Amino acid sequence: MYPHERSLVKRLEKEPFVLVGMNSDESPEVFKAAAEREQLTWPSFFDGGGTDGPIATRWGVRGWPTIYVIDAAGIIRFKNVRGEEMDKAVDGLLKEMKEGK
Amino acid sequence: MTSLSVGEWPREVTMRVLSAAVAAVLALAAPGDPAKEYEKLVLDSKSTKLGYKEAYLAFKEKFEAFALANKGTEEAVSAKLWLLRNTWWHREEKTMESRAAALAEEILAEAPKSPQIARIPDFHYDFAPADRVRIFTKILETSPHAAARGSALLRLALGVKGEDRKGMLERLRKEFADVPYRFGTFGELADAHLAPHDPAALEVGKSAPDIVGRDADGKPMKLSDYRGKVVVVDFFGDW
Repeated sequence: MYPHERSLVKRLEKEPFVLVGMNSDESPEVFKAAAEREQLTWPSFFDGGGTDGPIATRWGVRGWPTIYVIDAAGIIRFKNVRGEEMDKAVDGLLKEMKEGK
Repeated sequence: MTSLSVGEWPREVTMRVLSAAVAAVLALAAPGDPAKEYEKLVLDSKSTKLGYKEAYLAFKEKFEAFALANKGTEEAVSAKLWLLRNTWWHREEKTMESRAAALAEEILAEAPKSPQIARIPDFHYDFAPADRVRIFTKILETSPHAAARGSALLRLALGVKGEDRKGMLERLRKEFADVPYRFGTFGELADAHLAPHDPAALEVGKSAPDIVGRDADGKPMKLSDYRGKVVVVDFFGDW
């Protein structure tokens, strides 16, 4: 998943787009090591140090990765889209924004 | 004849020589010092080429002997927690639960004031339900440390359903709100368990609930900071 997300973020760096991570690693150090190794440049929440952290608990997340795609107005538009499907979802929403829908 | 300089050694050889040297220094510096002796034991157990299970089986008796010889010390508690963490490897032979209960009971009997007792409830999945209730209740009632009592109460709450669960989570929020747990507080976790989002509110077409939290450096951040952009929210971990 990292290579795909890295290329998505890179491709859309000038667009009104952001990838926000919800990290469930056991410590900030584990996450930071991964972030450095995998060049994860996007903002990430650190969710308490486990898969049962407060954010994942409140959102009922039971599987990783879990993906939500949210539009500029804050509406959930897609769930669990991966790879090309994620690209298409994001590109479609950016196009909507430009066309002023 | 050519000589081999240190820089040309395979990294693996260098690492082995270094860890053997560190272990030797620790052994010399520490006759009869449980802290140094325990540090060496842990270092030895980590420097093998064995897999997790094999390393556990190879070192199990050493950790047991250390705990026995240093009974009542914090290092003996650490050794028993190492054994408790590894009871998982006994699940197939069906002795995981009995071993976990015995180790936890021994720690509580030998070092009832140890702050490390706070870690016992983190191994909740290793215990039989009845043992879990008995042992975690004992921690809740007897530990002088809020971190240990809170951790026991959290796992007792999550082990039951309905009103019992709600009551215990409310007690956790009331009595342990600001007590640190992992990298947050018991209060945050109790809030999340008491008020999870309705799954219907997380469907496509609904307004995404805000997320207020912190990054890995502890800096506050909010999902709503990104309003006006297309946002991919990605729950992930490095595993």
